[in-house]
Amino acid sequence: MPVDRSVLGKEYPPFVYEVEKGKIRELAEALEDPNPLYRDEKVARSTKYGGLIGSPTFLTCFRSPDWSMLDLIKDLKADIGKLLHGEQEYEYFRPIRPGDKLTCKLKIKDIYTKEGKAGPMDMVVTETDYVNDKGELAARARAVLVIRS
Amino acid sequence: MIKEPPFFENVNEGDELPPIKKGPINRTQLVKYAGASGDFNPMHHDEVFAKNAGMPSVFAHGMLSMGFAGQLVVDWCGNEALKRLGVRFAAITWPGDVIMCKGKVVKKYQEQGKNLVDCEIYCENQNGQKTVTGSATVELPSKKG
Repeated sequence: MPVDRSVLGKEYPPFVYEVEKGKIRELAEALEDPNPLYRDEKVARSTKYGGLIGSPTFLTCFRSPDWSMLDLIKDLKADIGKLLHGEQEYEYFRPIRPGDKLTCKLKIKDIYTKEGKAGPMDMVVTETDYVNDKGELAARARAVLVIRS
Repeated sequence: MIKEPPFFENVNEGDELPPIKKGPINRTQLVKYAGASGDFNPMHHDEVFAKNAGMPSVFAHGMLSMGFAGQLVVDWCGNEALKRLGVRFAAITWPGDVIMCKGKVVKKYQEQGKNLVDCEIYCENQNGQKTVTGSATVELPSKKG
């Protein structure tokens, strides 16, 4: 069944995510990435970075307390068993540091259909802006979700 | 230790990024990744749920593989240089898989006074199947300062 296209353009309630160093480390441990900038405050402080920073995919940890991707799947009237994460892209404008409070705004940017090997697939594109407390864009994410028919 | 980026002048199209090896992936790592990232889609940790959905077992979050791709690029150029990272999830990563991440410089150019390099990157499993393909844009320092 095709997804509900009426959610095209929908903006989900913005939320503020406060970066914690333990979370940066936890993600690095799950990735088995030994980079000390995610793990060792003493080493990180002695570098030009001046302290710990988030790893390239750290933004994936930023989740709203009020809604989740499961709500987005429900809004699309899609079955989670048919969902695949097709693509993900991040653009980085400023380092993400412990203590940063970032306002995260996700919107459904595009919905289109693509012919797959097993029939048509719905492609849902989301875009998320991460804005710091000075109002500067720190990063931008773009995701393509694939819903198999 | 902290990786310093290579100078723009020392990088050429066709240069390969030093490959990195990840895994073997195991279920504990998937659970750690779910907890760290907050992605609790049961397909990644609940074997019964995954099998009922027609999968042979739980499988890795795509974002775990993207994390590996990020490590590949940062291990080469350092964190500060990475300006864009984009991937397409091409195949599922399963428990037991050993993943090699590789990349090469495909374009070297200057734009708005910045020294930029585009890299093609991919991760592949022990059977040579690509699990992730993608690209990264990095900004490198010049010897001219």
